[in-house]
Amino acid sequence: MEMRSPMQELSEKRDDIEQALSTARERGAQFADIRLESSEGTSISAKDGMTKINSSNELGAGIRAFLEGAWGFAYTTQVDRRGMTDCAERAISLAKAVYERAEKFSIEVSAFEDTVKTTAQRLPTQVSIADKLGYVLQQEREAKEMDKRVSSTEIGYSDIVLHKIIANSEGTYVDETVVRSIARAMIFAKEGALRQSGYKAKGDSRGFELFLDGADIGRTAATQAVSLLDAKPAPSGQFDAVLDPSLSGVFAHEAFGHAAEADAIISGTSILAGKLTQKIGSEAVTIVDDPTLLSYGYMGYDDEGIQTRRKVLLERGILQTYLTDIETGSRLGLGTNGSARAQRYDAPPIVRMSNTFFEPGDYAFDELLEGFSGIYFVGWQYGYTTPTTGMFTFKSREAYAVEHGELRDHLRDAALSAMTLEILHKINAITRTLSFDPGTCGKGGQMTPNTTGGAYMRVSDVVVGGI
Amino acid sequence: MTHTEREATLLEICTRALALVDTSIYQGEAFATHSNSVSAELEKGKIKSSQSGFESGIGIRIFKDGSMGYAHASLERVEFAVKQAISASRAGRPDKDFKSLPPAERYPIVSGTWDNTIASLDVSTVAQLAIDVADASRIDKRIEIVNSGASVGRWSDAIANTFGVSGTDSGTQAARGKTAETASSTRHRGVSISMLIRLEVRPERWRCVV
Repeated sequence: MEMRSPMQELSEKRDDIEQALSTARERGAQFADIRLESSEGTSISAKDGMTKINSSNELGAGIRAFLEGAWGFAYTTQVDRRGMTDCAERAISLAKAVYERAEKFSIEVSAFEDTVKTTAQRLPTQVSIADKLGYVLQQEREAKEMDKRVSSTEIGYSDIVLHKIIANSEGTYVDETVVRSIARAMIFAKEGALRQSGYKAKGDSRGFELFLDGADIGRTAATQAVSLLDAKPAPSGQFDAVLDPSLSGVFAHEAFGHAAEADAIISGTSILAGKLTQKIGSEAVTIVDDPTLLSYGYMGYDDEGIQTRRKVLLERGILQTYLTDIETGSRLGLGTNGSARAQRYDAPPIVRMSNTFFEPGDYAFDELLEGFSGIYFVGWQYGYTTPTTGMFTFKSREAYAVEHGELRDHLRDAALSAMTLEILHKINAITRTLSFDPGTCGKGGQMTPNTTGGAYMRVSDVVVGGI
Repeated sequence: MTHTEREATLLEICTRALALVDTSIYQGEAFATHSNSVSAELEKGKIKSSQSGFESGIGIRIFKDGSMGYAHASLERVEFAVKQAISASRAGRPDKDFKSLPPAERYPIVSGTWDNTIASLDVSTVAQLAIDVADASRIDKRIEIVNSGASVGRWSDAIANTFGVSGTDSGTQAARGKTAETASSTRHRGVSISMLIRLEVRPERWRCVV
């Protein structure tokens, strides 16, 4: 018997999908949508010689029903006509049950009909587990062989081929396949009582071809960890700073991007509320969220079936827009700009970022450092942001003291703290380079793949310390 | 389908999955589950989310010479899960501490985990319970209900392995909770009370007092 691909399997369910949407409408929904997802993925980890290999193959549907501001959401793994119709009935029953306690608003939705195929060349589903594990073990081996002070290695790999159909009662029917692959290396080095770590990740919306170019994340992370054993503790005080694309990207995502999410604006927890069209940063600063880039946060359509587009959130210091979905876009009168994402079929879409970064500027890296004295931050380790005030602290992976444009001491445990709305005015130069880091963002209990990045940037007068 | 029928179905799926395993080479374990859930959450008296889930799936662990491969899949894709877990067990490194999957033994039966009343609550009733939780605290104007919610679920599981372990389990759960705050005259929040009540009583007795 000929095996049907998951794509064929889902594509044959159009009648069942339309029946489910009709059921929701007939039972009183003003609007209903469905996401039917089929996914196949592998995750592998190797930690100090131990391996764990997991595979998954899942099928499920999530349905929302809308009634004058009330949403009911239901999901099911029974994706035949009966299962999806029952799911639609539960969604509209919930919307009706909570209708009286909902903020009242109406929504406007544009309809799209499209098929989006992946551009991945080597689909992970067509690569053996042995080959994937081979790549992971190669990274582990190269990290260990890099230096005898490497004390612990953790290499992770995961991929997914996600086929989804998003349809709604307004006529949207989008059939999209997304592929994502990522590998991460976290390497520890030890000398005496001092222990340092290095990290490197590589991931985007390609298939296994991503790892065929000798992506040596293990060795790179090991080199960083070992080199930090000889680094000095960072000084503390007020300094001018240069941020590499990893750290500037985290700033774009954590400190600015989350504040630009429209649900935070509506709930009154964002420092950007009421600041549209206002100048909140220097002329040098432009921040973009662009899901159309084939990076780790890529999506052709968002999880409400809206075609995605590049969004300039901040342009030359002026706040242009927020990230919106159907609900928040309607409530704020901005319309949706395709920023709804859900972790999986079993979670409702919420406003999320995708690939968020500082637009490149005019400077070469050497020009950025010309005459500069301060701290040059490299990479991101961890940190936190207080959304209601915009205060953030980020610890970098490593740093360098810079004197008159020359790199001097290699520094460890360097962190910078600032207020988002203040530091945006203090960015005075951005390089013309652009690079990205893949990552995972958590919000509302949902994890989504994202990219952060941008250019190197120079900032005046920030608080530096160790955490 | 009753929960006992559901258990039997899940166990049959586990058994069918393990029949695909060559026990002269591999040890295998299958765990199948099915669950229904409903939850609703209010924030400051307004609905924040209402959700209902119906899901099932199977997880397969295969061991070859101490190397474990795992795969999980929808119940329609059991064969895939077994094949992938076998491939993973062949590729991975052995865990030197692994001895064996457990042999069949008598396991204690835990009773009283299933409540038909909870199991039969529909989505509208659960949503109304969440609203009732919020309203039940309106005994004093100084109390502001920040969050309140209710959730109800039922599940059935089955587990089997290639050494004859074979068991099923079902249960119901229900919870409701709230966070209430009082405000002082300077509008600073003075007291925060969170309550999570695991329900072991009949819904008609669910009353909440702050």
